[in-house]
Amino acid sequence: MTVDQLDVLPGRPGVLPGRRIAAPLTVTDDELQLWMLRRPWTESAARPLTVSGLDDRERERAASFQRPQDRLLYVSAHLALRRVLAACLGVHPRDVLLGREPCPGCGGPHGRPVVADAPFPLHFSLSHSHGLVLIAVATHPVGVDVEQLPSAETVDLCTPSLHPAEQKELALLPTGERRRAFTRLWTRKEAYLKAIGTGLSRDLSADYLGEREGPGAPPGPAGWTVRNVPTGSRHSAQSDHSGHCAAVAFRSAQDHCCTVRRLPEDSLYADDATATGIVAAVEPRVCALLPVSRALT
Amino acid sequence: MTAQAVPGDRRRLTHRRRFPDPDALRAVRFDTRVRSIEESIRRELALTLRLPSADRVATGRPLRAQGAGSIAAVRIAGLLERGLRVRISPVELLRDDSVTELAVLLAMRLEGRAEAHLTGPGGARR
Repeated sequence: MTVDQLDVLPGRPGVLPGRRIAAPLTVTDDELQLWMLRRPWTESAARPLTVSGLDDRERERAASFQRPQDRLLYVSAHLALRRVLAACLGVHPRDVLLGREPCPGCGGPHGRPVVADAPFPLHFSLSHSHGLVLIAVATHPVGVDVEQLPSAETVDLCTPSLHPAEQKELALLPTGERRRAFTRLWTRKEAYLKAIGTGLSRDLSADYLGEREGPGAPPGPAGWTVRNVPTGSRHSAQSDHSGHCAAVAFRSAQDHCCTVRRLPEDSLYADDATATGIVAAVEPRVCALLPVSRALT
Repeated sequence: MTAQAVPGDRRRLTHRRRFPDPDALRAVRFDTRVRSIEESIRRELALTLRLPSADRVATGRPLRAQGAGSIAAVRIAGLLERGLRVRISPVELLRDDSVTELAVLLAMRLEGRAEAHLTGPGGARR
């Protein structure tokens, strides 16, 4: 699909003045779109990723990474984010202007990442860890987190920072289940903290993001829904380091219909117009309420 | 922060073994103290990220640029606080300060300069 073809696609209220592309990807009110991308550890020398589609800050950050796999994942994640947002906004990926909201704690310019010139409410969140990228796009504030399962020792060392009720829940689990339960919990917590814009500057023990719901359970964050997201990593999670957990937090008291899409790797290597077409053509693989409990991840 | 749900005795022994005694650190020259803390950070980051050795951790780069994320930051901040008995937050660890700059910050805080922060080109306020 070319830019000219995009011009004739059904428009949405997101066509920017002076730019000719109609947004080919629609985000409806109360819709939650999740995009996943898996990346290899190493980059093909014959097919290097170009950073020309990133802004100065992203390029600077990409250059700062010591390990090639960290740089590759960062560049992949940010190219993917720009491609998805560009398809929502009807602009070229390199024209997506990213900024930061003021920090809700101190007012500094390091709050939640935002699209600076979005002509309609468009919120997003990005997380990446060890070969897996997760992006959320919605018309309401949203946060995502993905983590590789940490070591048992790291779980022991981080657990005291959690909410007391969360600590108790983890302590009741058999040792073999604790790493995974901790990671599921951690991703819920961090997704929420990203969604509200504080990140780790908010006390990790301040909010209950445990598994319990209903009568007798500690109250979770009011007005927010926080759910783990299936990553497809379960097969490897029990025996090695490669398992992931992920979660999404979105501002709504109710579960939403959530679409999950796998972003084709080809979109990272394509030129802007072609990439937008690839993104727009991806069919959602799942449209379902996210699981409430520990199924599917 | 409570320790009720973790094997606290094991954790306390672990961090004591990993970090130099804070009183002994205060007694040495500032640059020696910085080098010692620097080595502790490198060792902990290598352990957290499952690197084969602390030599893989560069002192001139930020933790974030070397693969540290939120879980690693919370783990290392907790160990540093308990081992050195100084305050350091995960957010501070994930800013743009290099390992050496963080070691300087911690060395200053060990002297009781509780408000110490970095303000230079690689500093915490950037």
